[in-house]
Amino acid sequence: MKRQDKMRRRIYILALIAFMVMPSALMAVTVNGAMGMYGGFAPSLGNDLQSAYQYYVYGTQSGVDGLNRAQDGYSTSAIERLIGFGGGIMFKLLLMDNYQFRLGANYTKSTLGGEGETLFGATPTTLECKYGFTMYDVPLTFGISIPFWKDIKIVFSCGFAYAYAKYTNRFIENSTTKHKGTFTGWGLPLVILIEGEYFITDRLALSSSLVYYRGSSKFIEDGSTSDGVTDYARINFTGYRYNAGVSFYFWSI
Amino acid sequence: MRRFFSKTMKLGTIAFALLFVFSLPVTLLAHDIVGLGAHVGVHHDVGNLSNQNRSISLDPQNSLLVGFSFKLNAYFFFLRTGCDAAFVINRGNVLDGSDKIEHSSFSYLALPLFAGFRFPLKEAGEFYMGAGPAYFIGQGTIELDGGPSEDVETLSLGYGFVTGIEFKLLKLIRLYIEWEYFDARSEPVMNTEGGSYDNFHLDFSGHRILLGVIYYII
Repeated sequence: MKRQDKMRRRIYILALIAFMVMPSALMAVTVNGAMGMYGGFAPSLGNDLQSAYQYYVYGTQSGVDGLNRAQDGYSTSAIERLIGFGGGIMFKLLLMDNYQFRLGANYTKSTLGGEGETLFGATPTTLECKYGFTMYDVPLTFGISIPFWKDIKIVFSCGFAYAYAKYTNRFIENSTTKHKGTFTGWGLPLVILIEGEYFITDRLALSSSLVYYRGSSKFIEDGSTSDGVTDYARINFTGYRYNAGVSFYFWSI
Repeated sequence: MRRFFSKTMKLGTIAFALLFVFSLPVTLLAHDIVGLGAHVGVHHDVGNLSNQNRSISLDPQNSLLVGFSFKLNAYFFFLRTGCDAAFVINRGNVLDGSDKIEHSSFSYLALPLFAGFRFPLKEAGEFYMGAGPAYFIGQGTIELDGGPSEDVETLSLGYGFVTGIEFKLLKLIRLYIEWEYFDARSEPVMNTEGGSYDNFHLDFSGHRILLGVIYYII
């Protein structure tokens, strides 16, 4: 083995030892951990649900918002943005009582809204619309945890999430022609989180959080080819989530 | 309309059930249970015109909010309702000619109902966070390019959240600051695209910041 390679190997070994020794130094400071579960709702899941086909054929600049149209003599109904419900689990690592890393895993599915009838075209043509959105995400945030006595913790943190989603749309023109789109993709949205915890025992807390996601996927090609139309869309993760749940701390706070 | 009233009935039932559940432990608690508050606030970019036509340049409408709140606390839960009236500070002006709308001004009445968790900070006050529905009764005037202005009215249901903090000023009086967000749009109310159908809706979505004083009567 060459002398240079030996030196390089020694540096790697020293770096590895230093990395392994670091946590023992960190253990000198207060370390705590917690895990929890929660459920919540997400207004405007998938944001405006825009796609290229809707823009060019149905003439909407703002997805589902711009698609809402009405005229006397035609039966239409409001197509509202999707409201999602979901839940998740999280794991927290607290350092020195005031700093925390939070890793979560969430599932959110559209439950309300996203369905209705509208009009399009120079000569009004009826259009039935239906949207769906399912999202899995793993947010990782770092932030400041502010304890208030032994009762309350308020946390401000930010980071990003790995978000994977499936967005679907289906349009039936004049009760005959059908177009549907399926878009599956991922993105890394920005995550900002405000969380409050109310300790009902010294290890168990009720929690409530408000989370803001901002970001979208790259342009994704429609996975449904049976209708003979290729659509394109970004999966939009931007929106708010409100969650409520419980947290369990490994050690007493 | 029938669908709207069916929704209203469902929400009314849920609200009544929540109020009933919350009223049960009220007698068991000593203080900070029922509060009546008054606040002022602001709502920027009322109507979200740039969301309906993404190619326009806009001087957005700003509104002043004046309202009252009614808050019911029980252990670590709270219910908050109230009423906010939004008055126009400056109307919205479309600055380029790519849209038929020249000016817009909306005023509205918001009736929210939030439920969530509260985090009492001993004697200092409390932090709280909740979510829920809200009704918006809106009216406005839209001035079209080269055409007459049109008055519109609508009733919409939206969803959102509130997060706020209360600071104790006196024994029963607290100062509060709230951040509210709603997602709410009306059905189409007028035509601004030149087609034969109504396309324009009143958009009540957006953020509000409120500052007020709450008095705990119990």
